[in-house]
Amino acid sequence: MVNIDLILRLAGIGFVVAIAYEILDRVNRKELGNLVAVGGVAVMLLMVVQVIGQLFKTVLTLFHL
Amino acid sequence: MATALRLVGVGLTATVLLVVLGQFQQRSVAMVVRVAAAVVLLLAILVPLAQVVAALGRMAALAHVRGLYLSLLLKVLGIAYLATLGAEVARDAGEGALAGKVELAGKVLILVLAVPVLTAIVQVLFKMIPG
Repeated sequence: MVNIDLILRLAGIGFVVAIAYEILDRVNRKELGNLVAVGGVAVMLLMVVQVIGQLFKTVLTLFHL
Repeated sequence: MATALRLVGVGLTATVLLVVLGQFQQRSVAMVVRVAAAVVLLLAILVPLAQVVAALGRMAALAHVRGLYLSLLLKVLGIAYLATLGAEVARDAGEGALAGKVELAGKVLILVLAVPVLTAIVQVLFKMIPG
């Protein structure tokens, strides 16, 4: 039930995105780095939103809301 | 027992990952991971909580408490659960004022749920007072 895969996957994407941003920043491609960062965060948010929806649905059924 | 170990393990893993992610310039990446960890832990807690809620329902049936009141209590608990999650996430991101608004929204919604009970109490009181 504990969804640790999601946290590990998100952290992996986060590492890749953060390192890509740092490298692109070093080679004076900051605008490309910002694009990568925003895209990465959007992908991560898409993954998190599904779990948040699952949490909301479970809370709604559990507490008769 | 296994569940407790698993939950603490998830918390420790997420903490270490967040500390390492915090060294980078991108704050938003760490923020998303923080939200995910909070949501995963809360979702895992809901399974044991469901057993407690079921036990509460059985006890209420034994004590002949009206189902309306138990349902109201559970609704208040659910609103508090969700509002606290939202407020804590906002506070983690440094948006203290927004966190206060989320908590205020939760309190107002709980108050709206409590109003019918309050009016019922007041009506009973007025019936007891003669004249």
